[in-house]
Amino acid sequence: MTDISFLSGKNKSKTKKAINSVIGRVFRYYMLLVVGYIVLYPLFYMVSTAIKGERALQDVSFIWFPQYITPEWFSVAAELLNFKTSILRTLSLQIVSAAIEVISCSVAAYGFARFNFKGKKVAMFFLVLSLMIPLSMYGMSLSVNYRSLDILGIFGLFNKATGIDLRLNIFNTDWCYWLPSLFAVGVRSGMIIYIYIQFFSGLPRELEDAAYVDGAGPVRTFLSIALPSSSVVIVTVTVLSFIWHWNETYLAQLCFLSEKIPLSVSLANMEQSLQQLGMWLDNTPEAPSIVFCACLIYIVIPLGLYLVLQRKFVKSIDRVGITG
Amino acid sequence: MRVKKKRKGIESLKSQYGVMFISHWVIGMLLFFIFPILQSVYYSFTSLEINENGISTHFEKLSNYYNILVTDPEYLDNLLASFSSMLLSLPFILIVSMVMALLLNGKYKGRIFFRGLYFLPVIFASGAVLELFLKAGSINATSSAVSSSVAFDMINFGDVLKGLNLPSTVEKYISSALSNIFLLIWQSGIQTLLLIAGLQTIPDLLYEVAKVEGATKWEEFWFVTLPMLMRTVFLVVIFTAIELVSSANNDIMLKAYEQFNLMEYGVGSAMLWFYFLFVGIFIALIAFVYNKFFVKRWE
Repeated sequence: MTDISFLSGKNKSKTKKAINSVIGRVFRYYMLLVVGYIVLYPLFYMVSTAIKGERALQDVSFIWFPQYITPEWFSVAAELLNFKTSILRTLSLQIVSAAIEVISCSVAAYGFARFNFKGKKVAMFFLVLSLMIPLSMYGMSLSVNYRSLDILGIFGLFNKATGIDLRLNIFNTDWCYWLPSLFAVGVRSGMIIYIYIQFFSGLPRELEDAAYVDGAGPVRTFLSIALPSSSVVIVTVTVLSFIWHWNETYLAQLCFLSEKIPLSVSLANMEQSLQQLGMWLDNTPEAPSIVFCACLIYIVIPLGLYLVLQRKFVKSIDRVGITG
Repeated sequence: MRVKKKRKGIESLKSQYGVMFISHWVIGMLLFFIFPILQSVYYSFTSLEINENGISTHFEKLSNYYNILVTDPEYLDNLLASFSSMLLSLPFILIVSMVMALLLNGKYKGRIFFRGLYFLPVIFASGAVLELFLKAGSINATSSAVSSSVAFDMINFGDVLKGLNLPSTVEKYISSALSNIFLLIWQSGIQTLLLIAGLQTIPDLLYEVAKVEGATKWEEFWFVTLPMLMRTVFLVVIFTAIELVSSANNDIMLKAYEQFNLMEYGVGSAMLWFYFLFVGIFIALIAFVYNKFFVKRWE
């Protein structure tokens, strides 16, 4: 067989294509590196400022790699953050709540994704509404409600009629987070339910139908068929729920007195606590270092978790398929 | 006939199961979402006092709204300022996250690494860290302009923009976006994530057809990727709008929470709800446009 491709100009277009694809690849990596630099820049900046020694602070010529490095600001920052108590608060309050949320939302989402029932459209409407109305809109009245937990005013009327107060006061207790999470309406639960629904509706029904035929009930089907095939979405949701809880400050600021605040709030209060010591950015050169040390302390645990789960998380994004 | 009857039985049984699965969510929605919202709307029409006996409210009709809109000199200005800053950031975040999603999507070496890198902002771009970073970074003597050193170090974009002879408002808009570029990138983590997930759902078949038809990459984006991604883009727009509106360093939020600290719960609630009404109308408009034009056009 003689090669006649050169007659049709096929060869030429092939080399052109190859050149194009090389250019495309180089361009992609170039862009990836540039944007990657921008993403990491604040982190570099924080680290290099955080470890600057007192003498390096006056030395303007070294921006990225300070000559005198010191870990001393970390201990100052940890003290200001009240790290030992507030990290325990974060773990018991927010992380437990995140775990509860991941479980309770999966149940609700399964109901939405797999069953048809009366009023489903209304329920979906309220689900979308919960995506749209942020917590900051009603957080204040929520925290007022926590002082005397009531079911639609029934206990309040009961109190007026009989004088017996059945209303619980969960203000300043961990239940402020746990209870909403238990009912799948915690921190950004709407988004989490939404992601779950997208995933569950994409799961093939055949396995579950087979389970029904074999006589399993819906609970059994959910627990031993649907959930075990959803490890992908569970990774995504766990990471997101963890991060959102870790960063939550609105509710925590409204519901907790100063001795029970979690890490996120004590970081948000960093400015006040520095000012109380008479140190803030305008008069103290080491203030930025202390502030950035606090920031680094704050992000180190989620960062570690992310680095561990990163591969799984990134791969799972491909397969969860969150659409509109 | 008999089969049909039995099937109906299963269906109704299944519908009961559905209600069972979401029952806790329904209770939770009533207790921790709908009730507090109604209550807070009600508070916005009252003056509220918290004392030992609980809460006492006096119905004040529209006086809170009258106060913030007519008497308060700052409220309307703040409202327009934070609304317009949302309108300005929204398209940029959308474009940035779209570019990032397109860059990260596809098969290339080091994909997992780069994606892991790009999703980092999702983790540490929380309100508190961001706010502290902006404050501490901008006053620090070693780098007086944190963001500008990123964008302007190698090429002076300001000169480039001037050279392009754009109208001054457009130039200002672009240069403000460039100087905030790292902020924008930090804020578009979740959006990128949503868009990548959306890109994954576009069937490869469509791209193959486009290739056979001889479409360039540019045409491919406008005629295949974007139309197929419209639902996700809609979700991203809504999500970003809400995120920007409720961010803690938003003027209106600051003002309202200041009122809460002064125990003026009625006025604070009124401020929040009027603002939200404003934003709600905007979101409804977007939803309307989306339904009217995009859905029909491409389906």
